[in-house]
Amino acid sequence: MTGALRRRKESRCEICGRASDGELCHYHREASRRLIKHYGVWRERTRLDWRGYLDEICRNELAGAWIREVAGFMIKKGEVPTELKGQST
Amino acid sequence: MPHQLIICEKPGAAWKIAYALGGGRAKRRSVKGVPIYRFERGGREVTVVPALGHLYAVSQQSVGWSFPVFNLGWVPIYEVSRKRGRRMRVWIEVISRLAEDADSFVSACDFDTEGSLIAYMILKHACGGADAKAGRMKFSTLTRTDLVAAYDNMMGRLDLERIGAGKTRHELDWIFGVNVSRALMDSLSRSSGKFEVLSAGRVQSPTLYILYRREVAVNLHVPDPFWTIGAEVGIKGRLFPAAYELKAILSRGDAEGVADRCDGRTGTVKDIKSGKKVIPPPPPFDLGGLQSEAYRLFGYTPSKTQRVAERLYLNALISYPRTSSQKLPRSLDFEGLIRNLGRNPNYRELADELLSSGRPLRPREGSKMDPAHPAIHPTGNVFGGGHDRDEFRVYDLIVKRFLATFGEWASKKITEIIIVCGEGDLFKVRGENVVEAGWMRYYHPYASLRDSSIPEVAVGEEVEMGRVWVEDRFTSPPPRFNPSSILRCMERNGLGTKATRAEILDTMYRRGYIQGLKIGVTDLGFAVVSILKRFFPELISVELTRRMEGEMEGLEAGTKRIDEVVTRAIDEVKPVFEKIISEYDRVGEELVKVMDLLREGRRTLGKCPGCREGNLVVIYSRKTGKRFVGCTNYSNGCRFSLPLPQRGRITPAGRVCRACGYPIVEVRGLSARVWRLCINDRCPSKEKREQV
Repeated sequence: MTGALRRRKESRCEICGRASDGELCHYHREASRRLIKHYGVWRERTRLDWRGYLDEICRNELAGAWIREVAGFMIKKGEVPTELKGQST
Repeated sequence: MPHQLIICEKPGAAWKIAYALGGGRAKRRSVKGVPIYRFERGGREVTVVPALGHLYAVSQQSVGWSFPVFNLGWVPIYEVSRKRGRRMRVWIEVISRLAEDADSFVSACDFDTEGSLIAYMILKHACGGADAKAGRMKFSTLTRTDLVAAYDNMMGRLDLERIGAGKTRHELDWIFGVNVSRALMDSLSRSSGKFEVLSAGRVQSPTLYILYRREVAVNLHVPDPFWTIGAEVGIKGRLFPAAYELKAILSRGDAEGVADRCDGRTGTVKDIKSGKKVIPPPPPFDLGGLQSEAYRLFGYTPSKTQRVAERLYLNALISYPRTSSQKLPRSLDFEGLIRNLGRNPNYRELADELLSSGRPLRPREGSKMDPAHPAIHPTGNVFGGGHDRDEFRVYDLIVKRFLATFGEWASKKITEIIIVCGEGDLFKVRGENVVEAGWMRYYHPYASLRDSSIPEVAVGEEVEMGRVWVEDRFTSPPPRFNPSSILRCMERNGLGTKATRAEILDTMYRRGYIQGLKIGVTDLGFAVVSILKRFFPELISVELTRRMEGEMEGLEAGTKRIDEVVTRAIDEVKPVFEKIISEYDRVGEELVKVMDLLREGRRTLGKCPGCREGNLVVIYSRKTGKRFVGCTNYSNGCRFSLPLPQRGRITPAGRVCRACGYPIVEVRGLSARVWRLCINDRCPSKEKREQV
């Protein structure tokens, strides 16, 4: 297998196309982790559900670029993260 | 008659020095385009000749483009840089010919590391080893008085400690910068056969890493909601803004409770606090301070401020600007200087006020020191015509800051009225009155005190609460660095020197690693940092660079030896290069991945308006070799395509056409200007032009 072919077969981040060893690159994976972690604060203070939270984050100009990208990606996928399953989202 | 050769750093300085020492007798001649000045002084013939900055540079002694290279030497600059190569060769030849007739030599370059090194290399290589017998003029301004004093009291030898520090700094920069940059470029070209200019450096890489970390923090910021209370209080018929006791409320319900309880109600004055705040005069400018202030007030980048300040210095209007001192020596004739500034109508009133105040003229100084030069100050020479707006602004700033350092402390009276309302909710109304403007009078319009007085009230008096409302807030990300704050951060971390920091920042902009005045790190910058971080973490360490800067300061102070410092640095970086060699293929592959992604980004123009799924990209036809715009969704049936200009370099402009919404591209290389073009060949804006 040539180097070029091998490179083409490597997985890429579904958001930015950076090399990754999963669905997302490490920057967007970290963004996803933080997004999920901060949901607790938002739920306590705003009573928003998961989808409402993601919509708010996508609209918020103070949110980091990677955070907004991940929020948009999660809205598109429509799944609730496994960490939040079983909680009222 | 004995003949003396004086070496200066730049043609502008040579002219000043020649006329200061030779008066009207100094005669200018041009030898093969090199300006020289001749006159007689003290029974000897004197020739003043300028350099053009560095005429010698560090270079490897072996042949070929390899790495790592540690055997370095100093060679004429035309051997390593094609830029102005012929001119530099002639320049060195002219100096060598003048040196043949001279029996004594003087270095009159700027009294700092670079200046001392420039003269040393010329004396050593172009003047047949005259460095051993040369004298050194030490001056901080290019005024006649200072230059004559520097000539009459010149040092009997060159400042070898400073030269050693400068030489070592250049060699270490080469060892780190050139070797790592070569390693990156070579591993990329071996893995992909492609070439891209990439660079890393002893100071550049840690600085880029600081910017990278901030960029990551900004991109990963999740804003958390909180609420604040806004309020207005009516006192004696006037409304004043009031602050609620809590800066942040963590529940909207609680915030609304406060607003409901207090909106339009009556409050009572619970307490009145008053105090005096005094603000001491600022210290005189060092280079970093001047750069920060010029950025804050005029939006000038640090490198622009440095360039403008250097022009003012060459015109003998200010002292040497590349200083890190905030001290003004007592030997300066403050009274004479201020009197001379008073000859300028802009400063007459301020100068008269200072001189007639009866107070001793003692400036307030800062803590920073620089053994070579005092803080930046005006020379007192008249600021005549022929200067541009930038020079006027920077000069005015320096003069007013200098005058302000002699001013009295400014003071203001602060009054705070505490009002209780609702269920013990506390609000604060704050008023400020200027008691004494002090030094701020001299620094106008660059500093001023806010004056917002409030009426007098008594404890227990009732006041009307006006509107009380809830504000939705979110936590903010850390601020991005700007050119001024990153320079201050570099200074705090001991990265680079006062003279090199602005230049390093410019290099990172030029390489495309960073962009914007609120500095953002580009994809290329991210790629370079992630590779350095993964394979060569030592090179982005602030610690390593800081330690080396410390060792170079030791050289300048005479407590360390050059060979000791260089050998230690080589010992530290050798294992890094060994690691690079052992990881060569992996580094190359990683770089190729990143560069492929970047190239993909550079050729992607935007979303396809045909299928709305794929991206429009620049494609080269295999049959004709011509380029056009096509859709990445071609394999799924999208046949959208558009023609493109066949000449020039095309890059996406990152925005869409206002008339049709198609992407705009930038075409470079056809003329000096960039051609911005909507890729839609039937764009309404083009049709309109054709009709005209």
